[in-house]
Amino acid sequence: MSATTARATAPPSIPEAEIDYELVRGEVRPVTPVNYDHRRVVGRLQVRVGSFVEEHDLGDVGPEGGVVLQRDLLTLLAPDISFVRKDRVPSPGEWDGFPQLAPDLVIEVLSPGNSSVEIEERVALCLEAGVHAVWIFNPKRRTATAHGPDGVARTVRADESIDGGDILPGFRMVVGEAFSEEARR
Amino acid sequence: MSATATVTTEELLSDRQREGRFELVRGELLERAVPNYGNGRIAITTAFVVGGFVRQHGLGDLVSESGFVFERDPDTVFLPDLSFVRADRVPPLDQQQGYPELVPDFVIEILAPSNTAPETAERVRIYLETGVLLVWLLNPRQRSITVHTPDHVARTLFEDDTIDGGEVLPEFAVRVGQLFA
Repeated sequence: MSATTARATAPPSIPEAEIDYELVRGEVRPVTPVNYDHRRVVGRLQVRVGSFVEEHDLGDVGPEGGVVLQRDLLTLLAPDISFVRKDRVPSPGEWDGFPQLAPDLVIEVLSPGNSSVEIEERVALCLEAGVHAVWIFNPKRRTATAHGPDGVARTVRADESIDGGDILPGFRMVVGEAFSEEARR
Repeated sequence: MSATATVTTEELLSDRQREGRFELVRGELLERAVPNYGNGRIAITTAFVVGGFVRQHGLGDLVSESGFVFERDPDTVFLPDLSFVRADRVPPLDQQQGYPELVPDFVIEILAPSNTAPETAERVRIYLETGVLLVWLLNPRQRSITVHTPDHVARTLFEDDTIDGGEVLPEFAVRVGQLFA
């Protein structure tokens, strides 16, 4: 994925249309459609995390929600899945747009074409903006890497569990359950 | 990764077209991108800083884009941007003409725009599982270094942070930004 060089001019305005691109420090980054397996993995995670959050009334979970992480040099990302704690959920008046909000947890599922440099940048942008944890699921390796605000990342294998820590207390899931058995190479 | 028939280290080394430009992942050919100008510059700066320390203290060899056989049958050959081999593990001179069957102690890679995240993760996994003790991934865009160790913990350090050599290069320390200067 190579980013185009187009830059949003200052003051940056947030497009009203449904986004098929993101903005990283004012630079437009097209979002490419995901493959079928990616969609399956995101779907499973959405169900697992979403039902836990709903059951315990912890906040909002949703796919591809556009959030503004940084406003001066506009950074607008739409993570595969994001969780916002109940007390931080934006007011309904902001629901039609892209709130300036660092979700409490961001979950991304890797696609074969994601560049290392861009994934690292994405994790850094989230953590800088105040996201407490970023989980990266890698369907090819069948692992999950949990990045914390201290810059430390821990990778767990398919047969190990990832837990919700302080963000989703009591949440625990065997990493392999996110992945499609049929997609094993 | 381009899928073709399984290739051995010896076949790779006897092919002048491929030697030095291709790696093997379990016998599968993997073309290595020629570094762009910026990455080449970072490689030299890093080699200068880390290599200087290694040489000054007589700790071993720091080599650039040299091939190592990490696994056999099927063969895995990588040519890391920079590899450090501890003094007591440096291969004998006759093996230095080819790709020694040896896992470096410490590997430094500079991420290129074409490196995909799944491929990089797989490369790091093989490094650590075959015995590399320390892996640095330099990210030129955000001027950061992610340090991977065999405990599956990775730590990302930014320009103003200080990076050290861990147990591999005790007493080595440098400000991250200095390697991107």
